[in-house]
Amino acid sequence: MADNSIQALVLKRLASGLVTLLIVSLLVFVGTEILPGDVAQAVLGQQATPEAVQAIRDQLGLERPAAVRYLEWLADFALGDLGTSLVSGREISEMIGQRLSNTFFLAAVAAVIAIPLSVGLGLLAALYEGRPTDKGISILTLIFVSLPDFLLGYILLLLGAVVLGWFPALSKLSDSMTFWQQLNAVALPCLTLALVTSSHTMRLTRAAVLSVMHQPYVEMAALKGASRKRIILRHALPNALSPILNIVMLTLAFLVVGVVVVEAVFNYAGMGRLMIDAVSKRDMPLVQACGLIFASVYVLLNLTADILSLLTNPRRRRPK
Amino acid sequence: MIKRRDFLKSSAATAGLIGLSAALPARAAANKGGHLVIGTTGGSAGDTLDPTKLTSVGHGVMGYTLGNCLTEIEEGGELVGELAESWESSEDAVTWKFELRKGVTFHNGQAMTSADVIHSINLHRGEDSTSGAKGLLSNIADIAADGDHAIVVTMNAGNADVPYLMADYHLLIVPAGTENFAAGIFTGPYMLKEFVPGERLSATRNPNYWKSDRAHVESVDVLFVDDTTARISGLITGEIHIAGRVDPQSAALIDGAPGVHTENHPAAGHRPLLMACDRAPFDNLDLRLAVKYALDRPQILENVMAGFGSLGNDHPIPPSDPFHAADIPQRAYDPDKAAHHLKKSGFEGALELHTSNTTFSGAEAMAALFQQSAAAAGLKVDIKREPADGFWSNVWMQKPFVSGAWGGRPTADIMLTTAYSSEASWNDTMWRRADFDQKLALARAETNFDTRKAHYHDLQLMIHEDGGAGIPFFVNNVDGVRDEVKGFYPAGSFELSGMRVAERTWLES
Repeated sequence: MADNSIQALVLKRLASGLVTLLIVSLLVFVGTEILPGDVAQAVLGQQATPEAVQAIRDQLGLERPAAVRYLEWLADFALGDLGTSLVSGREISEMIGQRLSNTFFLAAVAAVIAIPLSVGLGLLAALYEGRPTDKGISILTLIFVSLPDFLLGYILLLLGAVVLGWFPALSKLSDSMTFWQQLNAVALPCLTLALVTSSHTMRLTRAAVLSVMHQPYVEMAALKGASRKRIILRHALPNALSPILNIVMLTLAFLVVGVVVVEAVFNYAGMGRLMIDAVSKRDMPLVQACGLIFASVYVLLNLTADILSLLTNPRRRRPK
Repeated sequence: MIKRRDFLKSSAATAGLIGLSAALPARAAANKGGHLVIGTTGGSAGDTLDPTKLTSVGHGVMGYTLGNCLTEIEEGGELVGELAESWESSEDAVTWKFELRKGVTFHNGQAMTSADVIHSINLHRGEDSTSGAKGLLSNIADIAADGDHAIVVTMNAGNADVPYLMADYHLLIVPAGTENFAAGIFTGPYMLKEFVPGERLSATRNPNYWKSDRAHVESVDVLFVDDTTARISGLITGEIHIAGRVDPQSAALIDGAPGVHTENHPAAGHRPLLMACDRAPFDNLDLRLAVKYALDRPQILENVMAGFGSLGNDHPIPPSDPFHAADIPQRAYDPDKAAHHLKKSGFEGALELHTSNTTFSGAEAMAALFQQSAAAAGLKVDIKREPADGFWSNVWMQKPFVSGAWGGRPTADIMLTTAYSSEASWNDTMWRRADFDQKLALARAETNFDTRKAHYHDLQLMIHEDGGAGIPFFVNNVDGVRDEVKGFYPAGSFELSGMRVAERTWLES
């Protein structure tokens, strides 16, 4: 019975995820349609005579109704055909492949640092609520959350690459590098991302744990004589897990889709730079593909968070 | 971000005498070996090695790392033979014969012949061509082989600059029949090892390279680093040896840092205020002169470009060009004269100046300075900031008063033909004079240098006195270079030693 309801819930979530993706795809398409200028003007730039613009538009079929083009694009996308770039004529899947794996690598390394660090710090801060440890952690993370990511990136670049010379200023990966060399290459962007994201995660972890701490059953545990550490780890944490999982998943999503600026600072060849490139050239199929991939990552991670919180929190499985 | 339009407007170098000798200035003996890393701009994930698709400086650097043209622009704008050993023209400069260098092989071992050269040039010609060099070659009537080691180029009309056209970075010589350029087969100093579009090109020295005094390092990486700060950080940390296109604000910082310096050299690009001469209010010469006298050129050069440039004199031929008319007096900021011409023009009200930093990053600052200096002459200017999107389609050549930007052109003729002849599609001042067109055609076909220079002098004077462009300055090319890099010298109007740094520089051990 319980299994059935989990399955039903998961299916429901999956369906709503699909609907979300569909809406996002429509928004991405409409968004790229209403951008001023088109690929013909962007490619031709200063040479955009009306005839040349028309020639490119005809060649690319830009004159057909938007609805038709949207449905075609969506159908192809669903079948795994991302189309070809308007600017270079290359397969988009081929252009995206390496960039996407670079982005995932950066996100994964940053997550491995950021998530244990920030959840741990959040628990530590909750454990010592109101004490110097808590205040110290709070102030430090507040500083990092207040700094814009590009500034933090430049500061780390100045320290780590220019002054100390420990890490490269330009993060470039190649297949011939060993894993350690790759780690070294992405050290600075990873650190930047880890510091920027861990503040959010740490503060939200702390808040989630503390909000549970004010529940009657926690008071009961304290009256039983349990230590604060035991209360947090055994009583509060399991109940705070579902908001924390949500935060962690959002952080992961941010690490994949929110790294545009950091990629630019360290000249990292990831999805963010690819998308900026595509927008500035009005290479719409590429923009749409990037947009939908980003959206899918978000939806999938949110779905995972939902499902995990259902699994960890039996109460959420019961309809109210 | 790629500024394709910036780039398309530029081409090879400043004009000079057609030199038939390949004599080069004496230089210290080059150190051999090492790995050179060049950080450049204008890369994108859609890049290819197809010569017809090269659009940015970074693409040009890649091209010259792998390939050669028929001719090459050397220091001081001197033209020397590259894959062409020598050339000669008929009296009227209509028919040109290029003798090709013998014994040159492509990276795949195949010998280069006239068939390869003809194929390579024809890639850029014809109705369907989308090459950036299509316009340059539009007046070629025919190209034919004269045996295995010579070609004959026939023009529609006399053109003394044909050998200069052949130095354009698009006109790299590839084996006949090449359609897929992924293998990167050329005749140049380095051979393709790996190409990741928008990221980097890696190449190793061509052991059979036909130039004995070039290609000093063992391997080269051309990195695309479009973010200026990242490019300069890489230069300072030593990950990049040569960083192209340093902005004026960063140049002073580089000169102050240890182990690095800037290479700062005059170039031909300029940033005019464009007045449309065919309509009100600028169909009135006095109003045009009022604007020209109201430009405080030294102030603009100092504040907008941090002094990295040279003063302009309201015509597009820079002081570094051999045909530059040095005797035309420099027009200075003169509020009294501006006020005088303004009064004489009878214009009342405010001029609306349409501007956008998409033309160049200081365009809006320059407009603001002009607004101030014009106010002192009683000329009221309203600045209208336009969105970057569609600026070149909806504002440039549409509104009567706009900020513009021109990159350098390889020769005076190409500059004047592209922007000032009556029929030019980029005549962005709408200035049309039959006597100018006639003299321009005369100058183009003239093979005597002194006579030609006299013609160009008159053409510059016409634009200076009557034209619709207020040209306050010419830009400089500024590159960041590490001190261990030797052999860097400016050549032509492009940065990075005319984009040929890969084969010209070496690393001191």
